[in-house]
Amino acid sequence: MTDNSDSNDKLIPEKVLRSNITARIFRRISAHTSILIGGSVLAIIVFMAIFAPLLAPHDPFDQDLSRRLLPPFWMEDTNPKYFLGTDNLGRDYLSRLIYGAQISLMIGVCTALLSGIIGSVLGITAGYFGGRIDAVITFVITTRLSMPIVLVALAVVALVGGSLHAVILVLGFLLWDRYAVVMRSATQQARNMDYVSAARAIGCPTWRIILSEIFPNVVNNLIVIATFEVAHAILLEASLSFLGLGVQPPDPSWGLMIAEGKEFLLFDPWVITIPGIALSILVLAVNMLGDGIRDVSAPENRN
Amino acid sequence: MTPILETKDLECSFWISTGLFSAKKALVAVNGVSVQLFKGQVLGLVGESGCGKSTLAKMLLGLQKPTKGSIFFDGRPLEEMSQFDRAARVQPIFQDPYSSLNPRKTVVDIITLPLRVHKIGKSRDWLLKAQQMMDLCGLSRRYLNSYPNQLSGGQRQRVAIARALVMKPEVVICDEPTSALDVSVQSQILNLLMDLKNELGLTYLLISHNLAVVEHLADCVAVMYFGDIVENENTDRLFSQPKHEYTRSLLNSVLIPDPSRFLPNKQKAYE
Repeated sequence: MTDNSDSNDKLIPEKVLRSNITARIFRRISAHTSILIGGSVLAIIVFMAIFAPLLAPHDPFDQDLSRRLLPPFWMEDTNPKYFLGTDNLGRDYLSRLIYGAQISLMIGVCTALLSGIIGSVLGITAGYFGGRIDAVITFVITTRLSMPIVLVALAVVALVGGSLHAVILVLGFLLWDRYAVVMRSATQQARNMDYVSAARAIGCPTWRIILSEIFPNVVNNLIVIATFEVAHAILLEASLSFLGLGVQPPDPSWGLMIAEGKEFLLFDPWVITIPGIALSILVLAVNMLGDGIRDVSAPENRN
Repeated sequence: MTPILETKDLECSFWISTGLFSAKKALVAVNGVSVQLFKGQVLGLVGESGCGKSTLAKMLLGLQKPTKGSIFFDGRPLEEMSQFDRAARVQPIFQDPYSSLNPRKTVVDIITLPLRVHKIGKSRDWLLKAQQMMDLCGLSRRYLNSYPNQLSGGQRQRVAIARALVMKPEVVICDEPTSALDVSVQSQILNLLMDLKNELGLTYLLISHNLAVVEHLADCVAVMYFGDIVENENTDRLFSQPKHEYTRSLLNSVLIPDPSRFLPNKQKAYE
């Protein structure tokens, strides 16, 4: 079974090697339906958010009480100028939805990034070093878990006032617990593997072991939690806005639009349905993309 | 002649908690071991599971700090050497090739990791070096870009061997290098190890359960029992005239593939 048959072949040049790897990754992505669907939906929403000023048919802040609560296109008595109708202050709903994507996405992504960094640093440190460091970090995690998010957010907002930055910072500093817990246990598992011992026996410095041996083996957990937390942060922003603590009017965010629509739930349910559907689509797209990335990056799916 | 690797009264104990309120107990894994390893030699280390063989190997690799005693490399105490310097001279081959290779890295990255860490040679030569090592270890070059899970157990162990030898170490600690492989591959890997030893002038510490392997490959055998070396003898002499009680029972436990003899417990049933 010794494979000496092609040892006399020419050496494989570096360029061919690297291009092979990239090609393989692309092939796996393009064969994965949920990455394609989730990715393209997310790309559309991001595109919408970035080019909001060009895409929005009206000014999202332009109020006109004479055309308040115009219904969207699939209902009767619609105004073709207002495709998705208008809200209770007569602002164009489609424009507010497009501008709202900016804020919802920003909150979701920034919060997931900030809490992801905090949580993974704490989790990997605790899991890798163990002992006293682990005990201290576990205590910090427990402390965080025992704090109700909405209550803390309420207190902070009461002190500094509600704004986009405040919401991102508060959520970012509160939502790292799941990252920390999962990364800690994943790291504990990975650090007992022989390849970590091998790296130590090679003389790798600790930072290098963590970055190149441990991290790549726990990063799929990170991706899954990150997609989950993007969705979680967007929904939390919605509930904070609902309580009047999140993004302040007249800034449009999907959560705030749902919050503002709560009075019209009975007779004009579309006021809540439209941003609600947009939010579900965004969350679904992010989750599908996360699942897909996990599948594509998992070593057991390589072939 | 100074031994290339020598341990003196090496001891290692772990503290294990037995309950919330009871005091921690010491578990002595290695209890005053003194062995000598000479250049170009193969020292076999045998003993039952849990007798401290792997702990001894870990201490020699610097993965575990000894509680007492010292290790000398070429007459120099190892405490004086940094883990970095030690790594260039002592390398391991682990038992389980399924966990000893990082599943997220390609074969070329795994093999060249020591070169990258120690900055040996120029980066454009690393790829060439990796391919030379693969040739040397009997692994086809087309696996260069594969991930470990695409390889069989034997191929993985060849990658592990290539990684251990790429820095040209003097001593290789083989911690049961074949026990996770199936029988047909075991002999290939063992022959490869012996060929590489002769070719590169290596010194092995061969830890094994398999007495036949040790008898075949080792120049000297140390028998370990409950953290102690109970017998350290030339291979031929140990197998022909075992002195210690434990060595004798160990040798008696080997099943001889002889169809005229039945399996130990079956034998009675047939009588």
